[in-house]
This record gives sequence, structure tokens and C-alpha cells, in this order.
Amino acid sequence: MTETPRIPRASRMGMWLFLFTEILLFGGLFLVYAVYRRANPEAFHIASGELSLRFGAINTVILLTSSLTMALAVSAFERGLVGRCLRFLAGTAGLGLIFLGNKAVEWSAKFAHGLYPGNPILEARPAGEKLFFSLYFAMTGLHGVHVLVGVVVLAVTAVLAGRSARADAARVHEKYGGVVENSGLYWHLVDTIWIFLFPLFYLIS
Amino acid sequence: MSEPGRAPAGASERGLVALWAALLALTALTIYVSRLNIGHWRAVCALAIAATKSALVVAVFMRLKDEDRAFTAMLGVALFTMATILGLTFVDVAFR
Repeated sequence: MTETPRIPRASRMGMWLFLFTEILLFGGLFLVYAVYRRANPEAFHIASGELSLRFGAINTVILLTSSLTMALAVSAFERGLVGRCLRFLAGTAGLGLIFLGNKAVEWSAKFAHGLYPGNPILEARPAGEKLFFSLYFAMTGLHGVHVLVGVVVLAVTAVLAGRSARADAARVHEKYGGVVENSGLYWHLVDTIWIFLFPLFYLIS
Repeated sequence: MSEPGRAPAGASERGLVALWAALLALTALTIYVSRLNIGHWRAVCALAIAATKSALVVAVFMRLKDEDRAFTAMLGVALFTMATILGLTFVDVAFR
């Protein structure tokens, strides 16, 4: 087992550039949230009280933990411990799936209460509360899609990292060396976005 | 390391676990603060804690502290762009 070289600077920089486009994508939604919350402080306050703080907090802990396992996977890969890296990658993807499972339970409960755009129960509510739930579904939904994409990326990463455990390790590193660290950057960004979504939706009631 | 003379990137495993513990503590803190009766300071505290948490993730987990200044400058441009868009929008909305 030898230490693997870190990926080239240009590869990391390319990943960061992509992440900035993600910041601006979510930034647009945060902007809409800020404007409508300013216009409807009371309605946002009341509607937020109907979200489950317990679910939000548990999912926050799950995503923070998944960021730790991701960082440990990158660290293990760079020390040439491919098996250890693969176990941490599997753990990270598993935590991502648990996060999505919780989200599914949470959304189902909202659907059961008619709290989704277009349902007569929600349509009868004040405009501010309708806006809150529309933003809640749009923002946590877009974030959930990112988690799902992240899980797929981690699965591909695990396959490529696994190949480097075999004989032609040097060539694999040359070709795919950046995959583990760059997919880590993506995963941490998705975690960072949730760090802001959690207080904005769950903690303002 | 791909850049000569560069120290190995990233924190030690112990350091990564310590950061994770700090992030969990900040999560507990933000939930606690959200229950205090301190008016609009609750939103200020919630955003300040979220900004602190994300800065820690970006610096340590995403290793920005080990990158050279070009990366920090790029992040600065992205955040400045966001702040400008937010600021200009609120200048519009606030005076309608």
C-alpha cells in the first residue's frame, strides 16, 4: 500500500467552479424565500410550526455525520487504504438514503394533511402560508434531488476507487484519481445547503 | 502530493471527528437559541450559527484552508455576487 498522489489543482478548481453554479442556483431560491418571508412574517411563523422539528434535527445530524464519513473516505483513499475508503463511501451513501427515507416519511405526512400546493385545504389558507409550503417543497425537493444524485455519484466513485485496489492501480489513479476527492466536495456542498435550509424552515416557528 | 513542497492536505482523522462533534454542538445550540424569547435576534443567531457551521465545513471538510488564495478569491466572487443580488433586490422591495 502506497500513498496515492493528491489530484491536480486544476481538477479541484474545476469542481469548485461547478459548486459555485450550485450556490447561485440555490441562492435564487433563498432570495425568493427572503423576500416572501419579509412580506409574510406571521404566516411563515405559523406554517413553520407545522413542520416536525424532530425530523429536521435528526436529518441534520444524519447529513453532518455523512460529511464526516465522506471526509474519512477521502483521507483513507489518500493513505492507500482502499478497503477502508470503500466502507466509508458505503456508509456515506447509506446515510444519504436514510436522509431521503426520512424526507419521504415527512412529505407523506404533509400530503396526508393536504398541505401541498393545489390541494383545497392548503388553498384555503392565507397566501403567506401557501408560499411557505410551496418554498418548503421546492427547496427541500431540489436539495433532495441533489442528495439522490450524490448517492449515485458515490456508487460510481466506489466502483472506480475499488478498481484502484487492483494491479493497474497507478493507471487508475492517473485517470480517476480526482473522483474520490471531487465527489467529496460535492457531498459536502449538499450538506452545507442543508445547514441553511434547517433553520430557515424548521426553527422560525 | 501533486504540488512539490506541499504538506499533506486535510486534517487528521481525529481532527475530522472533532469538527463533527463541534458541528453537532452548534446544531444543538441553534435549536436551543430558537426557543429563546429574544425577538428578531433569533433569526440573526440562527443565520450566524448556520454561517459558522458552513464555514467550518468549507474550511476543513472541503479543505479550503489548505488551498491557495485563488480558491478563496473565487469563493469570494461567488458570495459577493450572491450578496449583491440579495442587496439590490431588497433595495427594490423595501421601497415599493
